[in-house]
Amino acid sequence: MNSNVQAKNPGTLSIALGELEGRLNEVLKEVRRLRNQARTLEEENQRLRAFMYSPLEGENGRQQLLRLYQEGFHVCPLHFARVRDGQGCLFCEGFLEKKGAFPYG
Amino acid sequence: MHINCPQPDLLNAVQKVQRAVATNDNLPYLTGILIKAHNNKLTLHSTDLDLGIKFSFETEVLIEGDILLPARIFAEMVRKLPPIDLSIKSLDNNMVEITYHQSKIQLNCFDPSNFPSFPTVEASFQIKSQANILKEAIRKVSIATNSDDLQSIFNAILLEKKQDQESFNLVATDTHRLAVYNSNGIRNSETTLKALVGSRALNELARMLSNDESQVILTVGPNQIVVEHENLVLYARLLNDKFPHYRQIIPQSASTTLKINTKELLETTERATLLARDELKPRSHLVMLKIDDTLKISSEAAEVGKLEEELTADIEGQPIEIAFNGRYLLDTLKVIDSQEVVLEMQAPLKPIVVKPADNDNYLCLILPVRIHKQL
Repeated sequence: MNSNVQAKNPGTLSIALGELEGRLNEVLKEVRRLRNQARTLEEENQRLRAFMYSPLEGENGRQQLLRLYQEGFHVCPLHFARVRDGQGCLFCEGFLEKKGAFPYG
Repeated sequence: MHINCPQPDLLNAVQKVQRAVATNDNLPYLTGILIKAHNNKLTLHSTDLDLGIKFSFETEVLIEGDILLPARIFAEMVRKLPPIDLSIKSLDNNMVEITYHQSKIQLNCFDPSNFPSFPTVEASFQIKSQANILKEAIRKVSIATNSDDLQSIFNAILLEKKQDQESFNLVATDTHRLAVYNSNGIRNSETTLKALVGSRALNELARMLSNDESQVILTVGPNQIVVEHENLVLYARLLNDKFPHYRQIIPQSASTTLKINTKELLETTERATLLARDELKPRSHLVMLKIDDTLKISSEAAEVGKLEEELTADIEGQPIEIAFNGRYLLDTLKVIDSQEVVLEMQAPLKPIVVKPADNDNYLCLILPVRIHKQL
């Protein structure tokens, strides 16, 4: 069937293939751009995590967890370092209490 | 395929399976309802690959066979047909003809061989319960699920039981509250058999279960759960995530205990929550509980006004002031059927335990909110 199309309209297929190739190149370019962006964001994320988890001067492990929690991150093992939604978390508070550092109570 | 069946029976079946029909048309045949007619029995199937529903009923089958009808138009059509016997016959070229009185409808349909077959689930464990008990249990714990993220464990219900016992636990949390139901009274002992099921699947199940003592069998496999109840079979995929260790956050003691009429507290909390609606933080309905010799509930919204109500309650223990999201207490009170409810508190910022006064099969933990006074 393809050969029939080519025989009837010899230029049509090559034009269509040319267009397809052009579009594929655009998609590949976009994929490369997104991949680079993802790599940059991952590196940035790693830098931020390292900065965030590094204890401040005179701060022990418990105080560090408490600070992270108060800054709006989960410290419970299951969701460690994920952003909280502004309200408290039963499991973080349970965890901090177990560690002897219940945030406010 | 050729069948004769009463419209009310067909409508009932269609309404049950319709809830699992896929809503997007990436896989068009999943937007259909598969109808199988064999041995004078009609079985309707639907699935969106996360949830699957199968419902059967007896009917007159003249010629056996399968058809896959587009769910939306078929369901609407069946709903609008008169409550009489319908004749449904498959024609050539993937067409189906529905005949009633002197009228007929012809619908295009899909190739039934494209519809996925439902899995055979090898049982890791099984739970047998009564429909009314399971329905109630799901209703009570699903209040603590969060509906924003469908794939999250906070939108799932943990199902657990001990190896040799018939009783089971249902647990749900959105990290701000935790609801636990045990069919045989809450015990703080570890369970070995666990499965995490999406709350949507269990809520759909609860919607379809009858409110009687008929048996429901839940078979949990490595990746799926199958629930069988009378003519209904429901399949759901299990979530592979871990559920947090919830037992360690349930307080074992209380410094203040409050016993109060559920209806009175519900009505007061409704009024307080209405006033506490914060335009800036739509999810925070801050309500204040002040307990000394009496119980006072208050709430205020800067540009609306304030409320303070005093309620009669049995109070034991230390005076306490505690603030929390009134919406959470309201949700809990709505699913507690006992006449009286017990609130147990330890400290202003430690979780409040809310449970029925006459039954130890349910509890809900609510995390208080820090208010400026407590800074």
